[in-house]
Amino acid sequence: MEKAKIILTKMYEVFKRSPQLHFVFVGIVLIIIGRIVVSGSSHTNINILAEVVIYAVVALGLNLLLGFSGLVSLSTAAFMGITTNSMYVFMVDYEISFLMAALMAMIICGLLGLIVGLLSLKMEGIYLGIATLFIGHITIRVIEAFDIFARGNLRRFPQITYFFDFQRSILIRDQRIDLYTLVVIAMVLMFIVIYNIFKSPTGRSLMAISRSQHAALAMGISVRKYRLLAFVIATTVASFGGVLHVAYFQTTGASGKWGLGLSLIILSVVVIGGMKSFHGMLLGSFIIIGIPALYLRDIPFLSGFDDILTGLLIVLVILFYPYGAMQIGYDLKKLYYKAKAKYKARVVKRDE
Amino acid sequence: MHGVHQLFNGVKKIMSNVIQVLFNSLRLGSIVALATLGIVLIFRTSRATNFAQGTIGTFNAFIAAYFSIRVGLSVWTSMLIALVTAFIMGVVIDKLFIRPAAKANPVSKQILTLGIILILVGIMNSSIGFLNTVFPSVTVRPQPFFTTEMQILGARVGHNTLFIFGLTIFLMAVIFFVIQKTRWGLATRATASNEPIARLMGVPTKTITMFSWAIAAMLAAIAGISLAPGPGIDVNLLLGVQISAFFAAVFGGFSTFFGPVVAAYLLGFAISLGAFVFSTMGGSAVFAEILVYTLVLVILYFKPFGLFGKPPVRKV
Repeated sequence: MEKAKIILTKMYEVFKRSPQLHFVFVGIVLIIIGRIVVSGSSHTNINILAEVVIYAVVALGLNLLLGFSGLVSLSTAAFMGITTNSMYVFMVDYEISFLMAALMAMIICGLLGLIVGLLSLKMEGIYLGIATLFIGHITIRVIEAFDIFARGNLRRFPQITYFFDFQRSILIRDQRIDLYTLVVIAMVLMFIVIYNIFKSPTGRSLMAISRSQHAALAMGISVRKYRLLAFVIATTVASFGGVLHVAYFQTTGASGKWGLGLSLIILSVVVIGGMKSFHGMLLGSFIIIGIPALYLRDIPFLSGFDDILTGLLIVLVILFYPYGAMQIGYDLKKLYYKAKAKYKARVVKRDE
Repeated sequence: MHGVHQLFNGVKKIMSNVIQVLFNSLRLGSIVALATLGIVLIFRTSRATNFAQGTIGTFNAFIAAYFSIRVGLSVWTSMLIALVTAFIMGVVIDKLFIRPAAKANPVSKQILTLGIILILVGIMNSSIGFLNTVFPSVTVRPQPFFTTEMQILGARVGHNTLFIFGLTIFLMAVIFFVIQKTRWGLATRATASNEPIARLMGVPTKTITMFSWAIAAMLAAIAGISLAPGPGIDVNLLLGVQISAFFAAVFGGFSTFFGPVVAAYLLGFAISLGAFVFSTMGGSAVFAEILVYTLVLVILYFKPFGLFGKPPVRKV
């Protein structure tokens, strides 16, 4: 008994110290929630949960750029669109396997990220933001111009073989949970990878650049190199989000979907969730994408107001929690401790 | 002699085609110029990138269409009413959303304007009786200001296009005059260059910012009303204009007021001409946009603060 207690406390200590294990824990919780949802009456909600998870991953990539290096990108969604469309061409027209096609699409997006990075060496702030918008807009127009991309129309992938002989279809209700599990596992892996990047010398250098470029330069950090790297990583992660979109929804998505609107939504996930926050991305994604689709639409009195409420939610969070919704947790903790202290003081007073 | 005549005729035909393209691009160029001026005004005075400019314009274009089609007022009266609502809207947005978030960072302010977009789109998509009559879910197509046409240098030009162009130029002239020559303009420029210092010097920066939002909203409303008769009003009326306006603002340079306006016309003309050339050669008109924007990106690489912009002075 005593031994078990020691082992448990030791395990708890390890868990407390290792954020990687936190991500795994969150992943397990998400999978359990998914299993509960999918066996319930409103089983299509699993699609929304998958969307929340996918955009949490994309937002984390953008967070690396925005929170850790202070650079803005307004074409995150466009990179997802490029990935889905190029994967369709690779997989259906050239019959390349899923993993290989995903890798190639991510490399293409990484190269595009390099171009954005080159522009970022010259530009700052909103100029840079709109330059990235240019690149996204141009690539989406390219997709709309050529027939091999079906001029940007939505296309459904035929049966996808993910790896070995793992084949699932989103159209079959019982197989959705497997796809969802796949997406959640990918999310956990991506969170761990980005966390490790953040903790590595690369991440520290990015952080230094975001605080003060001049100080970073003086410490011998090559601003050019790390800016390029930040954009390449961010676009590759956005592309990974596109791969997850293909993996779960098995469509390319119409080209109109991947415009400025969705990029802004992803940006708002980062801002609402809190810059430099990891779990905040899931929270932000849930607030922006999950809550309107899961709850607001079902309340009869509020149906039709979901857009307004999402807008109000965004405005309120920015006005009252400028550092992200994760701050709410700290505030609640503070309130709890305050109440506790008050209660204790009262008890002491009464005893006297 | 015959050959010379033929050549002359050919040149004349090409010229008249180019002039036709020029006039065709004037209308959209003017609309983009109006939108971009509003964006620059807001960016300079409250350090916010206004993504909601297009949505504000669409909202008020709906109101103008409601008064001209449903109520039966003239096009001019309904435009005046829409301008008043736009003014009020600008003030309300500044008071409710922008002013309280003065301390937020620029990215948060961008997202704030996304929140405004969502709220406005939600109102426009609403199916409640009263809102549904003002913002119907079917596309409404209001009357243009003029329906007559005239002939200039062999090209057919609508009076409507000329009116919109004239109105834009007039508004630009007024705004430039106010900004450059009056006390009010001096206060605006002071706020634009350094808000805290301007406040310390006694400039009423809050009022300046508020009026900038109101004027930007009115410019957006005019843009929306001018565009509406062509494609008809739906929620995404000014979406393309909004993006073009951003491109024009960056291409011309955010740090000047006239650069973005010139860039708006330049981009509009280049894309129309490119589309004309591509379609006569049998290609797709989309390639014109791709080509022009790629060219702009290359230019921006060498002139990162726009054609007319100056790099900001940075102190360590």
